[in-house]
Amino acid sequence: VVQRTLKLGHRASRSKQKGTTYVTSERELDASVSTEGDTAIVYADDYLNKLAGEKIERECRRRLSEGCRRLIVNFSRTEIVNSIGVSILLGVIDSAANNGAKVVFSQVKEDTIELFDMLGLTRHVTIQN
Amino acid sequence: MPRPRRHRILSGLDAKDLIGRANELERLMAHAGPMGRRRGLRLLVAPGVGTSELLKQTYDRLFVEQKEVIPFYFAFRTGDENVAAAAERFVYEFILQAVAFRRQDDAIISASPGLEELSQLAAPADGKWIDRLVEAVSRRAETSPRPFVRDSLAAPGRSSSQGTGVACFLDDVHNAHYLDPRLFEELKEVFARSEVPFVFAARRRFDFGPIDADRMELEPLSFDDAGRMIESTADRLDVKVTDEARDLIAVQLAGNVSFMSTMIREAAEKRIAIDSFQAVEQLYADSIFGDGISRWLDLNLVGSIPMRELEATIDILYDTAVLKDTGVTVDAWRRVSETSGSHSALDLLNLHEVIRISSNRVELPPENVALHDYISARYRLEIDGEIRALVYGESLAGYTRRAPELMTGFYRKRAAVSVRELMISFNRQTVPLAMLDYGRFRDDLKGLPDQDILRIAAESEEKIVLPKNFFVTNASAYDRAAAVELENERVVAAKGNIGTEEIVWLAAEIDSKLETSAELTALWCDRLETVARESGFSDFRIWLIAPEGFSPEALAILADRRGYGSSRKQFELLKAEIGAVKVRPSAEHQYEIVLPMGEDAELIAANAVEEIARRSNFSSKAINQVKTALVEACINASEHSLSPDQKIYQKFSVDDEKLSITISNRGLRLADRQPVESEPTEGRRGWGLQLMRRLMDEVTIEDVDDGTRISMIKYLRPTEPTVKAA
Repeated sequence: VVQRTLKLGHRASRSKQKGTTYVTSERELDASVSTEGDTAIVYADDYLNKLAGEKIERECRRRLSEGCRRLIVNFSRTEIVNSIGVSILLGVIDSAANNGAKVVFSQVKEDTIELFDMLGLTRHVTIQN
Repeated sequence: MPRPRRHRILSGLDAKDLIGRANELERLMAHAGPMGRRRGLRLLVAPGVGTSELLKQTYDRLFVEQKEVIPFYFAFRTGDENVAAAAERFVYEFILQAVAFRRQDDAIISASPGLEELSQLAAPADGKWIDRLVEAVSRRAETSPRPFVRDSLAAPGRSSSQGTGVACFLDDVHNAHYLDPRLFEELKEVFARSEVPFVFAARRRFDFGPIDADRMELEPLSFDDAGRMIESTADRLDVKVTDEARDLIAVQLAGNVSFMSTMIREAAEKRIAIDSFQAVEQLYADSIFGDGISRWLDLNLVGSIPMRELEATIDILYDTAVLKDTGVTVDAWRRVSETSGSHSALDLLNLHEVIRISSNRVELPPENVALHDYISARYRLEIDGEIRALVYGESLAGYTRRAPELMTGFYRKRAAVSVRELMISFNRQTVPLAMLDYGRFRDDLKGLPDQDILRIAAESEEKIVLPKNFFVTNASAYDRAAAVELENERVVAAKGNIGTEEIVWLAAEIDSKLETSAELTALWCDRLETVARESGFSDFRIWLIAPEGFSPEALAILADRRGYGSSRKQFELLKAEIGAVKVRPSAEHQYEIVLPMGEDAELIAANAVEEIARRSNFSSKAINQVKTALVEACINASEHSLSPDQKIYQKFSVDDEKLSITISNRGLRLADRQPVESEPTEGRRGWGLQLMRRLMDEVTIEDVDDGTRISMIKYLRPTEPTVKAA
């Protein structure tokens, strides 16, 4: 298992990550990614906004370019999402489809699923809780 | 045929800017419109309440909204040379307005054509009767005055008898009386005989004499309406007014529409913001010493008094103001103010409410702060001959010092209103003694939920029968010498009866952070007993209300004096018990937050609204929906608005039924924003508004003058609905 911690968000994290966590001079890092075989798990932040979405997107693209064929976005810590963050997730789904990869959203809270539903996201992704 | 323009014809304001008079406008419309009853209405008005504007607004609506009834507005003036001149103006105005209405062309009114031209402009169907009126006016010189006046005043009635409906709005009819009492009597006679519905508007102290007409009163604006009127006027004239300044103006000018609009107009002319108490008082001082408010008061003062008596009148007015506790006798006034013609200056000043006469005493209305200041300024400048700059400076300093005191007094009065309102509701109800007696309440009920208190109290056998009150007023009205001590509005006297016996309840609200002490209770008992003694109340009951109730020693004192002591909680429960209010009034709680744009500030707003919604028992699901909608609204405010202050203004208000959220920002309005081409995901953006609409029950998006405002409502439901899939 390769673990890598991403710098995500401006705010201090509410909970520490599994694996290696490091702190820059300004921000505490609060999301991480792990890979196993051709599967990558990307952990979303507690607030899925534009910045957090873009970091997820970048990491997913990177994993896809490294040969991952299954991307799991873990929302276990995600309390609130906004429409910009969701629109970026659609970009992730597009990229995965273009690379013949599958995207799974895991541990998504019920309210967030409803929101994804409203915006049509669930038509393109598997929810696995 | 030209269509009437759907805007102002006679009125000075757009209809939407007429504040606080919706009910009165509807009543006048109903009275005078096509379905109106064919009879008269006396409109009794306080000075400066905007009567003319109300009548003109009614006129404009009748002009535009229907075609059956010719609206006619006329204001009597004391400036008319004589009765015949007034009558001539009357009939000319009638012809002018009738022709304009029948041709549906309001431009004729503003053009003020001559009589001959009006005759030519008249609609063919009206030619005959209009020609006859024009001819009658033209023959004025050949006609003796009395028949001419009568014929002129009868013009609306005669046209009505030709099958043309007319509704007359006659303003300032007291001026007709003061021009010549015979003119007013003639007016009454003519309209009593005609079939024309009419409104006679006059000062409320004007004695109409015998007249068969309904009655309607027009009071100064309430505090809330005055505030709305100030905001509306300031908005229209592009004057910035803060909430604090608005409230001070409303209180200081006592809802006088003329004074308030004058002040805002002066601020607009000077291009200054009314953003502090200091700014209000500076403007006010300029208005008192310049020609703003003072001009309006000049008209009522100078217009009422012969010039030769002016100085002496100002002198005695100042004495009257200074001797506010006792006033000055009518005899002293009459020695100064000679009888002038058929009416005296005293009567006219009373009519215009510059003074108040009661029980052979003359006093200045204490609530009219501007009048007191105006008289003081004129006295010092004109009688004492003081230097203007000195008087101005000292007055301004005084006004500024007084401002917080005015507001304090107002807050106290407002708080005491509920006592008066409750005591008006006393109507021989039998209520549990524990609702009034703090000792019983503390021992048996304090700390229980409201419903339990009401239930247990209802089961109690200790009851008291409340009197049937028929007159409730401030106790200071009975004992003027002790008015200040009684803190004016915080002590209420209610006259009523139990059976055949008359009884007076004297109620006082006391400030005390803890249970009220014996000393303070004894002091208030003494005060109220003095009022009772001075006022000759043989049977009275003391009722003290304190936020936290009374100590055991204080209750013993009250028992000795046959009085009651209640806590504020008991007071509220008593209101509920006798049906004056609901047990839990739908009190609205408001919160405001201003956040900087960026830095995920929307999360702060989301956390705040979560706490607010949770306290109001919204479900977790609803709370999450509200939070998400709020976040979207904040993002909408931040993105592409080019906001100059980079702030998001948020208001949350909660009542028993709903949570309302308003998000505002300055900068580009939504309609003005261009799509951002450089944004790669823009095609999937624009979901924010959709989300807000799906997550909330109501969403309104408005482009305001300088930005955007989003209003959202979430209703509180027992079971929240599930959001449907898109």
